[in-house]
Amino acid sequence: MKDFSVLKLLDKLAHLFNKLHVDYPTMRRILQVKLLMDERRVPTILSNSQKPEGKNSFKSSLFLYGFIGLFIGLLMLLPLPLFVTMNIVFGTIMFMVMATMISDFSTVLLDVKDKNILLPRPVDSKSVNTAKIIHIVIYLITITLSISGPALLIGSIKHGIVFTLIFLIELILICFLVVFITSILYLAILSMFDGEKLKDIINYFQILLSAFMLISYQFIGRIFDLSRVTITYDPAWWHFFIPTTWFAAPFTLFIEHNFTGFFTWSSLLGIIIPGLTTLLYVFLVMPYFESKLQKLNSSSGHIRQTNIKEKLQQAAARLLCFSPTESAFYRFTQNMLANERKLKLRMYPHLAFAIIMPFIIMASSIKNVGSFSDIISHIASGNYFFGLYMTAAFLAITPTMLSASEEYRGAWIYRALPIESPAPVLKGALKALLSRIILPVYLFTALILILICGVRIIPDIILIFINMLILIMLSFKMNNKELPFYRDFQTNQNYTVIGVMILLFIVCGACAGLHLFLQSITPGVAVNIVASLAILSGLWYKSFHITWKDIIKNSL
Amino acid sequence: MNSSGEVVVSIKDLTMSYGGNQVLKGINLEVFKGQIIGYIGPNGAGKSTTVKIILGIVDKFRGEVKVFGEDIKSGIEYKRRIGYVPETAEVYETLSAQEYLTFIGELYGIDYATVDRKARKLMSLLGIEDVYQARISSYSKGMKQKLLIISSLLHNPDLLFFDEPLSGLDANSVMVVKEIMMELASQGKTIFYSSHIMDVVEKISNRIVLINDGRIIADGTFEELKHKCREGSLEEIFNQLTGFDQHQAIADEFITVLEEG
Repeated sequence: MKDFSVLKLLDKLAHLFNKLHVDYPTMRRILQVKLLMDERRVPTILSNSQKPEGKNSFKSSLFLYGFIGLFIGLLMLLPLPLFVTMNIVFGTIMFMVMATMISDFSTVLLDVKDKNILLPRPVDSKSVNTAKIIHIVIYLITITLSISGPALLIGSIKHGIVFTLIFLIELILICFLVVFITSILYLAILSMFDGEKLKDIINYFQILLSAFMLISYQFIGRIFDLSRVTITYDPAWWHFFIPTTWFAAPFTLFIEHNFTGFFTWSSLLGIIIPGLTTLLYVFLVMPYFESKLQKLNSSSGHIRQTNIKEKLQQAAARLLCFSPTESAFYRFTQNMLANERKLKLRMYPHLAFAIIMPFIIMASSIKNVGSFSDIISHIASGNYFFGLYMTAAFLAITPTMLSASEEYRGAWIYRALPIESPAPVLKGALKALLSRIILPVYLFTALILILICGVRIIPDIILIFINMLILIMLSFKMNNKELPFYRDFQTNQNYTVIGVMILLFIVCGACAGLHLFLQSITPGVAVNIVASLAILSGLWYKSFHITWKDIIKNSL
Repeated sequence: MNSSGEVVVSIKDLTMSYGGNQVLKGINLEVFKGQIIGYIGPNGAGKSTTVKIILGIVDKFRGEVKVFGEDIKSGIEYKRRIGYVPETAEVYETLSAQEYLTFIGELYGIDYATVDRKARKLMSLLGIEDVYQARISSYSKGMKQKLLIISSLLHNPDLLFFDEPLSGLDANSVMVVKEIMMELASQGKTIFYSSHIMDVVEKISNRIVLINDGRIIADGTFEELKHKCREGSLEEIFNQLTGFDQHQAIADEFITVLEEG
């Protein structure tokens, strides 16, 4: 089996472990297996065993973190007071490390399978627990270093060796704090809710992290615009409560030689608090944590609030769907969208992106900084709401995401059940996606734009909505007519999706262009609405002439 | 019962509760060398909990459990002589069979080359050698079950805990595994066999222990139980002893509901 260089490094400490009465060879073997499984965290559930084992997904994720790290490193170049810079840098690092701990590493922290596999074997629990702790430490160090490496490098070049030393020490302290906060968070959730709820919350963190990554790319280029802003820093008493100040203060102390009381006390807090929390963690949290873990696999089978929500859903299904099959798949899709965590993880960051896009465009087109009210009135009178077309384009891609599912094996029902035509299946699913995801997201974004630009844009909002529906129909038509939730996430179909995306953006641009042109003529928007509606109804009518033959042809 | 042999497992006044719920209410049991114990009972009766306690997966129980004459709280050495097939297929699915089995073997202190050779041979005997290097996540239910059986026997243990070991296996494999169990028992190995399939338990075990609601309610050979209960099959004995006599009524009502408009 593959030998890891980390383990070879660890071999040098073998004596130490033996002194602590840890069975080193066993522990090493467990760690080796754990590290191997980390590399394969994204399992390739393919029946074809001849396929190459896939690339190392852990390493490629490190690469991504390194990229984010570069972004954090660039922050070091801002002409801000060192204390402010370090606050921002450590704040971002803490957020990233914590979010990754929660989203990616929860599988390790919360593993109960481990117990059932390892404990029946002649392995003492001390070795198992040590292996677990070392595993977490290795993971934490790799992630932290790849996130903060660029900042460390840039800072060291700028401020010298003192910076390097302080930075490394602070990183260790931050790691201690992060582990403590993460486990406290888990503990709180586990003692209040059951395992399922915890999985939900982990899912939200994963979504948050993905959305953060996606959106932060948009800002990288804009960092240097900030450099014109001048900020000075004045300490206030409540700053003591912000953890990043504790870690940023030593830099002021030792690099800027500013030994004011505030910075000294903050620096001390930065040592005392992580120290205290670590003690708390080892002696109080950890033992308690293990006993709570058992709850993870249990679900208290809480009763869902069926009444109003379910009735509304059923009413909507009756209203929107014309056949029993269609309304059955409408409800099925709604439920899947609400419950499938992996699908949410795919879709929600994308939605966040769709919401924020118009505002990013808006922000980047403001060049001359005037007063705040000037900017607002400038935006309100302009055509900045056309950014909503970006939202429309991103939302129009969502139907392509509907065909993948974690539970894709359940898709045998499509073949086994007496469903005459796939049209109602696809129609029901699409309508559910529209009513549950697309419509709320669109309305939310549009509402904010109306608040900024005023009610005058309502006709435009309506037109953009109809144009979006046209885009959705196009993406639906081109998406190989795939059944909902029938294939694995792993099956690669990026090729088609990218094709769909390019086409959607072209059509979207054309729609926006036409809209912009007709806008200047008085009944222009109304004419456009009528024309778009006509195209839409034509597309809707034509798109659902689907037989099982089409489906089978495409899925083979 | 042949109480002449060596005592392999002895359990005294074993109680256990999860939260406020008492799962085991005082189990007393002595198991002798070479026995195949059919350990049966309804869902939630406490079968798995007993086994998990003996294996050291669950602690915080009350009472005394001795395996091979040693108190299980005093160390882990006894686990070297135990093999376990869990009910739910708990394995590291991202690993290949080779990686998993060699890992488990090495935990028992067998060196890599030996366990690799042994595991491959056992896999080929059960007809799954071709997936030895494939990831377990790609296995069918039956293949996974075979893997679990192999992983429990690699170190040639003296005491076996088999929880539904035949689930998902085809008829031919079932015969092989049954034969293996018989052979092992005749060599003096002890087997704890839990299952819900009464026909198999009836045929394979030479002693049946029936547990219900955290207590042992019957213990003896099949013949003894048959004599005591005046019933013909283990299934009927099971129904009688666990106080379940409504299967006919429930089935009838079930059909009635199906026929409703």
